[in-house]
Formats: sequence, C-alpha cells, structure tokens
Amino acid sequence: MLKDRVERILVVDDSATARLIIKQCLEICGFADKTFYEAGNGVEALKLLDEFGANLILMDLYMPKMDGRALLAEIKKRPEKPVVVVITSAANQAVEQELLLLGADAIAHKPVSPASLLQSLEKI
Amino acid sequence: MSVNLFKALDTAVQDTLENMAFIQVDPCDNPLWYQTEPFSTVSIRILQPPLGKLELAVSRSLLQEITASIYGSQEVEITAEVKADTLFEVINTVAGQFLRILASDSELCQLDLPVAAWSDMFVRAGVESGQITCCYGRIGLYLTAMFYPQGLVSK
Repeated sequence: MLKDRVERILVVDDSATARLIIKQCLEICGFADKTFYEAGNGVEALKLLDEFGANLILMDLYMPKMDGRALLAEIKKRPEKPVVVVITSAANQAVEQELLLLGADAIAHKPVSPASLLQSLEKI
Repeated sequence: MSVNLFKALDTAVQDTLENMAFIQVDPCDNPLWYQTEPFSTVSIRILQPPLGKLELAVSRSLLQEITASIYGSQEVEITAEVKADTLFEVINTVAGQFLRILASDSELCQLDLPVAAWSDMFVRAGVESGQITCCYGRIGLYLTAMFYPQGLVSK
C-alpha cells in the first residue's frame, strides 16, 4: 500500500488554506503519522526536496514563481521518483490527460475531501 | 448538450462551500446586503477557454465564518491575511468547478491567479448581457460571472 511506502509528504500550494485542507484530508486518510513539509510554490518545493526529500508530493497547478507543470517536469528529472498527485480545481479530461503525460501519478479535484483524495490515492 | 450557466455557477458555489467549510448557503433574501455590510472582493480570470472572469464579494462576517470553520481545530490566529488567503482559495475552487462544468472534455482549461480588486460589480450586476449573478445568504455572498461576447463555449 502507498501508506506503507511513504514517510515524508510535501504539500505544495500557494494558499495556506488549501495546504491545511489537504493536510487534514491526508491525516483522516491514515497519513497522520507521516512527516509533513509545506511549500508555497515550485521553487520552495524544490529547495525542500533537496533538503529533506519526499516520497509523496501533493501539488497545486496554478502557483506564482513556478507552477505545477514546471515543478512536475523538474521532479521527473530527479532520481528519487516520488509519487506525485496534482490537486487542482480546473482539471477536466483534457487537463488530466496532459498532467498524466507530464508524469503525474494521479489527479484530485478541489474542493478536495478525504473520500475523493483517498479515491485518487487508491489508483496509484 | 447545453449548460444552464446559472445552475453551473450555483453548483460550483454550493459544492465549494460545503466541502471546504461545511457551510450551506441559501438564495439571498436581501440582494442589497452589500449596502449595509462591509465586504471583501476578489476576482479571477478564466484564461482557457477564454470565457471571461468571475468576481466574488463576501460579507466580512460570512468570510469570518468560512475561515473559522476551516481553521477551527488549528491554533492559528484568524488574521486579515488568513481570511484573504481563504477568500482566494474559495474563488479559485469555485472558478475551477464552474469551468469543469462548462468546458468540453477536449478543451484545455486554465485559470489565472486570483486578485483582490475593487470592482463595480454591484453597479453592473444584472444590467449587462453575457453576465450572470448568484446571491446567497441574509448577509452574504455575491458572485458574478462575466463572459466575453465571443468566448462562451457550450459543452
């Protein structure tokens, strides 16, 4: 199970409110005992990845400085290959296909709930 | 398939507030609430497909309620900054949901980042064509979607 493979989780969203909601959902989904890191954009996320690493990354798509697409491309160049879930409000079928081609492992929609997030994580 | 724009906007608002903050809002019984209540505004442009933009005004009391509901279990002081962040996330989520309902499966969707900006939405509401408005709550929430004349794409 994904839960057993994950120790460090990185949540990337320019909204602190969104990061809190995502973290609360993960805790309800059984990830409460994991170590969480938070970043407000792709640049901060890459710094945290360099410093601490992560097995699971949950990221927004639209962010200042470095958005989700650019961050996804950078993560996929790295040898660690963490699991990446993109959480966005505006992901229709076309966007989902594009993100999966870019290397996302799963997509979840905002407003995210524990049930919808779990459903996305179970597809991995 | 034609999409009822008002219904799409209403669904986006209701789903967002219920899932984010466990708050249900009813249709407004006082559409002029903004004349007596202080409020905050935010807007977001829909870049792809180039439909237009959404503007949202929320009374400060309802915004406090939404923020307190989300941050309820946290030891976080609900500052103006926290409330502004919540407001940005609300319109981002509403706009995305609205777009998912409207855009066809093959169209790439893209939103701009939300911006806090005063607008004359109340003056224009219901006057211009290509515009729909939802109003909720006794003192509450006012949402307008404006469409570029050439931009509307039906699913």
